[in-house]
Amino acid sequence: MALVTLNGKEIQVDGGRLILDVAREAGFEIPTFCYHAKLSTLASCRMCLVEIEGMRKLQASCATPVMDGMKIETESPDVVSARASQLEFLLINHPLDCPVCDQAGECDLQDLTFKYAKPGGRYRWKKRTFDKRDMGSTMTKEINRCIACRRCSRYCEEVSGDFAITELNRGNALEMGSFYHSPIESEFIGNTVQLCPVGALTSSLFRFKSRVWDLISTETICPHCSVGCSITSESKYVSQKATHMLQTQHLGKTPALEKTEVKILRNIASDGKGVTEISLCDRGRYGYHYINSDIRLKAPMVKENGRLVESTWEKALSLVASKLASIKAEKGAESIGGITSGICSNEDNFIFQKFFRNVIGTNNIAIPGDYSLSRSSVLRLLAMRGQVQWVKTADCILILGSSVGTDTPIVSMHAGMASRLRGANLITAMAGENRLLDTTAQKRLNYVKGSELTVIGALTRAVIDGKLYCESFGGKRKKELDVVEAGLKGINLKDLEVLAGLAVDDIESTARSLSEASKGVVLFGDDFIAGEKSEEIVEALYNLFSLLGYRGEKGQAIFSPASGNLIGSMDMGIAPDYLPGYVAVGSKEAGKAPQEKGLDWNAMVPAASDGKLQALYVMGDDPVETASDKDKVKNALNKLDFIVVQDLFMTKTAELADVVLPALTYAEKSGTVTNLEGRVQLLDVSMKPRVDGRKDWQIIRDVAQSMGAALCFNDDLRIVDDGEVEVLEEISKTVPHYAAVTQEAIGRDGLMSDVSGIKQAALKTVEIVGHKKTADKDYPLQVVPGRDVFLNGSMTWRDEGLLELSPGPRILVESSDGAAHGLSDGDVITVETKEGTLKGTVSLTDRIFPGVVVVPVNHPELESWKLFGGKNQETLGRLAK
Amino acid sequence: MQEKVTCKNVEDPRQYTIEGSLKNGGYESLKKALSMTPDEVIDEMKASGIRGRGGAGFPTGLKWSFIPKISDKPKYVCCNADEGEPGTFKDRVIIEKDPHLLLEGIIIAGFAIGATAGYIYIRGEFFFGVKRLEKAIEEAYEKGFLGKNILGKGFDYDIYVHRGAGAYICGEETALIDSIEGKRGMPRIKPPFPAIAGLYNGPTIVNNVETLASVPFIVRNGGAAFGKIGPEKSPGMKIFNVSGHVEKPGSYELPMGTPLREIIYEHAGGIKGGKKLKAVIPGGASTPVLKPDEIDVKMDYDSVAAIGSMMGSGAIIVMDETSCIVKSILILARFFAHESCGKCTPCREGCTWMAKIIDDIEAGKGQDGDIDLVYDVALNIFGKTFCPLGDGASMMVRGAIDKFRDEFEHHIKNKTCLVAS
Ligand SMILES: Cc1cc2nc3c(=O)[nH]c(=O)nc-3n(C[C@H](O)[C@H](O)[C@H](O)COP(=O)(O)O)c2cc1C
Ligand code: SF4
Ligand code: SF4
Ligand code: FES
Repeated sequence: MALVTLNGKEIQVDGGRLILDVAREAGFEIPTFCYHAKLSTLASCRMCLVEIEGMRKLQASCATPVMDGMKIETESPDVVSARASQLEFLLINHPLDCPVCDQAGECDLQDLTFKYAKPGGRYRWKKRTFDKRDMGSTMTKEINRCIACRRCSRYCEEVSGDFAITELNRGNALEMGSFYHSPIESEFIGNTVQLCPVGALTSSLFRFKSRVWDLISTETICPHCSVGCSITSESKYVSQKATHMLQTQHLGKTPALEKTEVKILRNIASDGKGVTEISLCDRGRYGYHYINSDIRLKAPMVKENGRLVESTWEKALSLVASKLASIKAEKGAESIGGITSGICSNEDNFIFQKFFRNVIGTNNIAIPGDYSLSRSSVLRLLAMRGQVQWVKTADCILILGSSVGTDTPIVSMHAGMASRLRGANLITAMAGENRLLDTTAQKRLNYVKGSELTVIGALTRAVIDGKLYCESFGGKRKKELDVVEAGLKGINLKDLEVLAGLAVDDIESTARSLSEASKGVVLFGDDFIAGEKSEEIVEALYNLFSLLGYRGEKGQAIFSPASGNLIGSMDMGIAPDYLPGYVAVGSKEAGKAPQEKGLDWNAMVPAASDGKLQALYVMGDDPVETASDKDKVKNALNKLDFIVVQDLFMTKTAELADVVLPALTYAEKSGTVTNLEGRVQLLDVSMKPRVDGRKDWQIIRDVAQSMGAALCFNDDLRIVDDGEVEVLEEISKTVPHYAAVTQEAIGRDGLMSDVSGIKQAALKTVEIVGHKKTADKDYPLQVVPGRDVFLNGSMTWRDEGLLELSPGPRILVESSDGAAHGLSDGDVITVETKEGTLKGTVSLTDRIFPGVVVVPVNHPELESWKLFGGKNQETLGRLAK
Repeated sequence: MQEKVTCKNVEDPRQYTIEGSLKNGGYESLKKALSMTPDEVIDEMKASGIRGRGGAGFPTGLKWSFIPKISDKPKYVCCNADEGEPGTFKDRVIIEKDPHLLLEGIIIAGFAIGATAGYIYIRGEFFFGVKRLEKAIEEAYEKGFLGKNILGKGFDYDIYVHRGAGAYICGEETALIDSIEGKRGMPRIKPPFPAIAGLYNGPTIVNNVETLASVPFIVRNGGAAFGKIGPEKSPGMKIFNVSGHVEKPGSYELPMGTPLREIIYEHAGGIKGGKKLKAVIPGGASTPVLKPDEIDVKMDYDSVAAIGSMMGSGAIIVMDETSCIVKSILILARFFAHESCGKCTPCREGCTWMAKIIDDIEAGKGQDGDIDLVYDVALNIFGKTFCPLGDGASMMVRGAIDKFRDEFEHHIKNKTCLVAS
């Protein structure tokens, strides 16, 4: 403790705390520019100077810790004059173009000038100006407004690690910009716009759209990945009254209708809420344009004479109801299937499955995707819900697969930070693109796509051979160890080179690092468990993590999928073999739910082809677009008697539907979503619906009502209500690990659902037959599916902002391979595999290994699925110009 | 006459070679030091009372003793050979004429603090100096004064030469460290001081060339022998660089406390062409100018400070009656504006502003009130900057106005120079 005197007032504080923090806490204002609690100390703006008795010079309070006996003045004449001087210095070269500056209203320079500056100007010389520079698609630099606080460059160095913005030149000519003034490529650059205390870095997407004081702010959750960042969505009522009045005056016409429309104009990070600090990824920050989009479905549509035409809710609902009822009566409930999406809220999904189980009477419920997991594997995933906080403080981090970086950028950013700032041992094992810059990872392993199971087998082998497992497995759990080892007969570490393409040393040292870590974490996403072997991979991961003790205390495993609410959908029982709360279908606890397991998506497709399935109900998914074998899916769906799609857009699947119902975006509804940690978070209504749509769960409820079944409550059909509260109440009664969940309890930080009560089965033997690396001298390259960071699904493909951000459908070729093929950026090439060929634009990169070509699979127009033959496996290929 | 410390052998044309150096007793001090304990070496440094020759005058022995004995990171010695202060050219003499003396000092310093390597951060323009140093290092390795198990005493030590890229600020010790690390050279926040977390975050001492080149003398003759030269509080021999309007500009190693008048009129041969002295900058560009009636000051840290200026690096710039103070100050103001690293607000914005105002005054475009304006801008810089560079610019400008306000006023009123008219 230290006794300090602040402006004559004695206070006891913890020694070592910053004068700035202590003074602010005690109610004394100290202005700052460069200081930011989440960035390193720079102490360069000199705005926060204070006077300390006995010290010759004023001291920067943002960098000086309190010491016992210190006497500090924050308002002495010297301090007051020093502040005024800094402001004068900052303003002499400032363009003073506040009227046209986006920052006005939230500008630190303006606010502090108002408060602390002396009136009048003494500067009559020419102001310093910098040339205009192209900063890429999302940022417009107004760098003459810069006050050189270097928050932006510190952010890029310390947090994002991509050095996108840095300092150029020195002294009075110091300019913030990108190296060689090249356009910025970073998925985090939007954060610097938010951090900039003045209007020097502006968002090209928000520029001149609104004065900030006209915005209405709503705190909600970003829908774009399973991290679930806390965002503040800011919207504005754009009134057309003014223009109409003008028309009236000039043209003598009276406007027919006064129209106001509401639009989301920007998203900002809600610092300190939920999992969020100062960062969002740009997909989340700028991915709001689809909400405002004019191509959204505006009204229900019904197929007439082979064409979808606009209809009314009443007609559409009754058609859906009667059709489903008659198919159920004629062909049985099993002939109806339902698919939903990991993007829908818990309430949507809960009601969806309830409708299918209680009203239709089938367990044919699934989420289409690159993998399909049975209940036993999904239960294993429950043991892989680590915390983002853990990543920040881990001392050893292993990232398996590329999609952690492309799909959940914030998780991978924290991993990079841990390594850069705290020296955590970061190891990446990837087949394709590595979004963490090369300098960040201590070790980078390149496995062959398709060998994921082998990689895990090899790591497990190394853990067992090196006795790197938790002590108990050498003793009382020896039997369990044997169970695991029994499946590893096919894995001999010395063959690793020809199996997964990995060096033995690398696997052994990785296993050792994981074992020796005092706080380890393993991250993996969709691409690592995709394909036919998903079940085995998950089970093998579970075995590995159990042996290492990565189930809590010592280490954690974190599954970080792309879909915003995939975890919640699982919790809600969107599966053919388990109910909400993971209750097995057919078990005693299952109550009145149908006893037979239903079809998963992989089974629904053939069932549709051979007539076993007659109707498909689609909530927010677009399997025709996203399937790895599109033709097969399309042909199967064409065989169906009846398809209903509820969605935001006229998707490829909706085009095949008999009835299409317009749904609402996350911004237009409330409800809950569950992030990769199992944190239940609250959506809030940012704007009134832009279309005559309904929330997904409401539509289902309305269909049920039309079928004469009350799903939960009998409220008026047309009221846009907040029945979510009641649905959530039912969820918390039904799902044991949501028992404590209420909207109040969730608040703005979210509430961790507690899955610890769900028992795990004993370890099982996973038979691992080593993947054999293939070789073909005519096809020397490994072609690996990849993902565009900015485009990860239906909403993003229709988001003008994200389309602007995306580099476009580019084929990634490693720089030296590019040179060997005589390629430069922007060249058009053909990639050939045995399965097919594809033409595309090249982007040379150092983010992949030599010999690897990455083809994005989430650019629908690229039709990259053709290259992989619909499978997630090793694919050899070659390039032709 | 007092035996010289750092320039004793600079006149010997072969001194820069290892043979020449050895002939004159080179590396004898190293042998002696390696037979002492590191603490004994530091004690001798403390006993000598030597204060850093880079300008700030911090006691060297004390600085070395701040280095933690035990560290999980390697420790380093950084030799500051940036020699950026206008008017200073003393380190260059040692580097070019007696590089082995410097190496010997750096090796002993490394031994004293338990370092694994020494870095010589050298001004980029010193092409010739770099060549000499690199050759000397090669020779020292060959003779076993560098490398593994030096002189069989189990001490391993390497020396690297790192060339600067032309930034005055990189002479500031923490900017120097950042620059060696490959970063943009800007001062770091202190604490932590380099002694605790310096180069690559290891405990580091940064010392000037002249400081380190004094080490062999102190080790050989004992701290007391050094301490008894000159005034008690800033003892020893010091190189003074005299430039400007004198008959014999050059580098003079003299006892601390030698009066400025003696340096100018005896050693440097007096004012060129018998003209009248107008002003003297006593210690490099950032030290306030002195008038002729102040040159009886003794050249040591405390005496110069007592009359409101600084001894700095000992770079004495002499200006005779034909010099225009406004023009001279403009040159220096432009220097600081150009060399400001741009990190902190007052120096980045203020130094350029000062230069613009003085530029106007000099060019006859000055307005009433400009002198007060530039003085006020200088005051607004002073004491508020991140590092001493801005302070130096401020002191220099204010010093000139304090002493030669009439020249500034003449420029504004008559739109011409007082000297020319
Ligand atoms: C702007 C600035 C420039 C400096 N330039 C030099 C220089 O060129 N050479 C030097 O030895 N010290 C220079 N210094 C002083 C160093 O920071 C440091 O005090 C010195 O190297 C310490 O060595 P010493 O104790 O042996 O003097 C400079 C300081 C500042 C603030
Ligand atoms: S651009 Fe903004 S954040 Fe970056 S240094 Fe300038 S004022 Fe600070
Ligand atoms: S005073 Fe400030 S701007 Fe000037 S050199 Fe030092 S840190 Fe850089
Ligand atoms: S806030 Fe302390 S110096 Fe900028």
